[in-house]
Amino acid sequence: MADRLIVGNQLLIQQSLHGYTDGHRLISASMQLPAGDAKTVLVLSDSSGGFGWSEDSGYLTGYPLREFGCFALARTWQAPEMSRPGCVWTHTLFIDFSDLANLGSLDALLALFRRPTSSKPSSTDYAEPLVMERGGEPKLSIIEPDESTWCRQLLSAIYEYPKDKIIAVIPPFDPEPLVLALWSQQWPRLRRSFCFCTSTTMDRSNSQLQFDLQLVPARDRGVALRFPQSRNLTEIVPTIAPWIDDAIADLFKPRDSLLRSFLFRVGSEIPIGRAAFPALVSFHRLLTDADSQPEAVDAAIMLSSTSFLNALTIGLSMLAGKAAKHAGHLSKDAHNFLLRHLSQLDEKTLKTEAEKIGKATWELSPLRFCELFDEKDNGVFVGKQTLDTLSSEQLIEGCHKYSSVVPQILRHRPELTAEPLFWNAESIDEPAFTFMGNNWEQRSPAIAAMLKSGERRLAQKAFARLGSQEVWRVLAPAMDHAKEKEQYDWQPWIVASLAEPGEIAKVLAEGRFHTKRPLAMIARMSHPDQIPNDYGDDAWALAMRQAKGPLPHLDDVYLMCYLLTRALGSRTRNCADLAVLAFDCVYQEMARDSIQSDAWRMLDDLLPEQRFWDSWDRCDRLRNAMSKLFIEKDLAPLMFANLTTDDNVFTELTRNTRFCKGGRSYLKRVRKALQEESYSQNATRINSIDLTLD
Amino acid sequence: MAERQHHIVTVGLPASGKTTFLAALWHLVCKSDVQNMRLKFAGLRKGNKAYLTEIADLWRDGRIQERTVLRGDRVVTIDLMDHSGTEVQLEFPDIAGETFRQMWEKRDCDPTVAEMLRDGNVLLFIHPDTIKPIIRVVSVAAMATDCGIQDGNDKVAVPWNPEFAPTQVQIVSLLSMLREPALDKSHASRRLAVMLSAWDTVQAQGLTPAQYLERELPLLHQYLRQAADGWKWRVYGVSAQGGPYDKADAKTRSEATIAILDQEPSHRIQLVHNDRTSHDLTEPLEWLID
Repeated sequence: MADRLIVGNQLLIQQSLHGYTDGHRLISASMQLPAGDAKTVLVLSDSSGGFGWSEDSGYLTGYPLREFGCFALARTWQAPEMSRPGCVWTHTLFIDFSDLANLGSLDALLALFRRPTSSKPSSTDYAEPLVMERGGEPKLSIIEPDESTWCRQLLSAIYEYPKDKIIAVIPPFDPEPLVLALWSQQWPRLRRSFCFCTSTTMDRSNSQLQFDLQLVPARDRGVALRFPQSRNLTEIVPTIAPWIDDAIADLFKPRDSLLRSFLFRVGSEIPIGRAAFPALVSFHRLLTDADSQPEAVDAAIMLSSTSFLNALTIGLSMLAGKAAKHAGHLSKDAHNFLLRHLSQLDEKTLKTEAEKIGKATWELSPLRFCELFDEKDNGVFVGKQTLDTLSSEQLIEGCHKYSSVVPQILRHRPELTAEPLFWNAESIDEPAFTFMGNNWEQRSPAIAAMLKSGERRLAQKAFARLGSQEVWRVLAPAMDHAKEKEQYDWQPWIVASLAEPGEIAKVLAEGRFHTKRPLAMIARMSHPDQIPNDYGDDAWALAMRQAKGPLPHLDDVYLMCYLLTRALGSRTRNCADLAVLAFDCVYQEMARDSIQSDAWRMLDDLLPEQRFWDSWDRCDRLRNAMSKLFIEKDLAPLMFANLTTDDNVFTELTRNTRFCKGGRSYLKRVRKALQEESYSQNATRINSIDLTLD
Repeated sequence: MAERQHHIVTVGLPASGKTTFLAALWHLVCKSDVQNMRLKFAGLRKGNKAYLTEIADLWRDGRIQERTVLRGDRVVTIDLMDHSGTEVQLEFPDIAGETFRQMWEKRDCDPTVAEMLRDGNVLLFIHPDTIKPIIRVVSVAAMATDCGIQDGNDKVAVPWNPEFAPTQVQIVSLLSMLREPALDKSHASRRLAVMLSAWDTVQAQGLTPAQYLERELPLLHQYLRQAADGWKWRVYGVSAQGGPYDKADAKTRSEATIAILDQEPSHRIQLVHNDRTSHDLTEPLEWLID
């Protein structure tokens, strides 16, 4: 016989008929069962005993056949037409386990049951499998008050006492629709293991099958004895837990309920049977509540870990999606849960909520936030989306708290180093400088930020880690524009720079300072001979040529004293230039006796000693120093002539020079140089020399 | 007082009269209105008294017993006293006939049933109405000729099925199985009382039960006579009902049943051994436990 063609939306249902022929036996079947299952079917197709069935509809028995991989749903009718009392007909439908999920309406299935019309049915009568239309909507039922009470009690018994065999007296109304509704409400994995019988006078369980539910006739007084280790429905007080209301609502209006599809989706992950039902229904309720209540997420997480040992992959995925919508308003535990399940968020939710999740994670713990970048795609996506939107202040605050996040943060937001606020915590120094060591383009803005931050500790580190050139590129212009009150802030930078005086010399010589203020600052922090002049023109002299603008008087004097001291020192190769630059200012200050002590101290050591009674005359000492300087170093006579703009002072100078060793001949040279220059202003000077020499 | 424990199993294919015998026995031992009974009732040690009462009530009322369903096996332990005053404990598992049919057809026995069947002496029930005779090829050929069917014209071959086997073949096989090590650990000699049920229906043939057995079930007779498996055996004819009964739900009573109901219930019972008749159903039990 050719196999019947099954169209996609149809189910193939195997069947068998058992009845009495020389003993209760298999009469007809559309397939052959394995021996063990065949024996089970033979036994369970025999009468369940006694009374209490409807003559027309008989009773139903449902049980799994694990060897054959199907669920047997059998209807048994009395067979009064047979000669022996107690004979029955049983038509059994075998539903493949994989088809249990797609049964849809049970009405179509129940309609397949067919009682034999003859007392001697043929072996071919039930020899072909049946075809049933897949799916269909379950029938809506109207629930009567007494049905509701009984149903509530039954649900409580079955699910609150999951290990017990439940027996219940057959109620006054037909219980079959309720029992079938209860069975069809179960997710396929539970459904395929749920054993029930709607009328029996003895326990139908055996070593392999425990019947979950058996209904007994009302007048059977001896029921307790024949159902050992079972729980009678009369002992059960219906639970008032919320899950049962949801279950009943779904039972009677499945079309309006999302619970069933949830149970079907999530139940497949649950290995623990009836016990899971209340928890799953509760979990569904919490998922629904989680749409508007963030605290429901916590409750759902707790339920999942205690009832399901976190085995609900699909369920937790759904919960993660709900949690994502509340990111920022979750408890710490709930947020950590969300992060653990980031990979399970769907694309749409991820895109919509990434920023929210990331911000909340950052606020919870910048360390945890950075771990997102170690995770797979979703974590990295959240991290990147968030970093683009977090404010600099937020990021900086986090970096200050947890310096280990600095490298990750700077990788995505390198411009933070250009924020002065960033440098306000020493903890970030090491990772930040390491980062900039590999990111050249960030150095200048970072140095500028360091300068603005006022953090003194950074000076030495910046020079050491970033290089003097890099620092001076920023420092020099910044010093040019520094206000007077900021001078204190530059001190550490200048001190740090002095570790490489050669670099300072370069900066000075290149004329990078356009104002005198930086020169004054450097002068204040260094020794006049500290900056080298190993070749070429003196850096200070070059710098003074470029630097313009006024200085506060005291700074100006100090600078001049500094330069004059340098001129008198051993380092410079441009003594005359420096002397010419500085002499007048210093001399005038000395003449007024208003030179500040720190400036005087610089010069004092280098000015020649006077006789005791002349030591008070600083001007005289200075004149002597200049005379000796120009004579001994054989400096350009014309420079000597231009040492001062004051003719009177020049006259005094010449007198001091005349009395120095070699002074007369030097003065003659000065005169000669002046004569050769032939400026009219030189006449006075020449006259002074003449007078002196005479 | 001394006590002996004995285990008796009732064996028989479906509708062979096992439950009817138990119902009648229960009535008999409770009522104790038959003189010189071999064993007297001393108590019900184990068993569902409600069930025994129920089947006894049906029996007394002249109603056919409901068939014993599969997994409806019940064990009854009755305390009886023999003529010397010794208490005898008899254990009766009342096993569905389909169980034994399964043993023959599928070579399968539930462990619980196997435990019940192990080592006890046996009451074997055979109902004359349910004996499936041996069909000889010679007879089939003769019938075919009479019907005008020529040999070799079979178009459809019917595969053989164990259920087609004659009754005595099944019974001999069952008895052999009871002597297999799985069901007979001691392998000591076991006693077998063959109970030919509904004896009243064949009594008119004028045979003793042993003669009837030899004529109707020759294979079984030969098996027992040759002591192939060491059975010590007797044959009894038993009419536990005394005649035909009505169905349990019958609204009107048949005349035959009405006639039976007029008798004293205990006296409906007939037990025939050789050519001796009594009402004492305990007689085969006494022999089995001797």
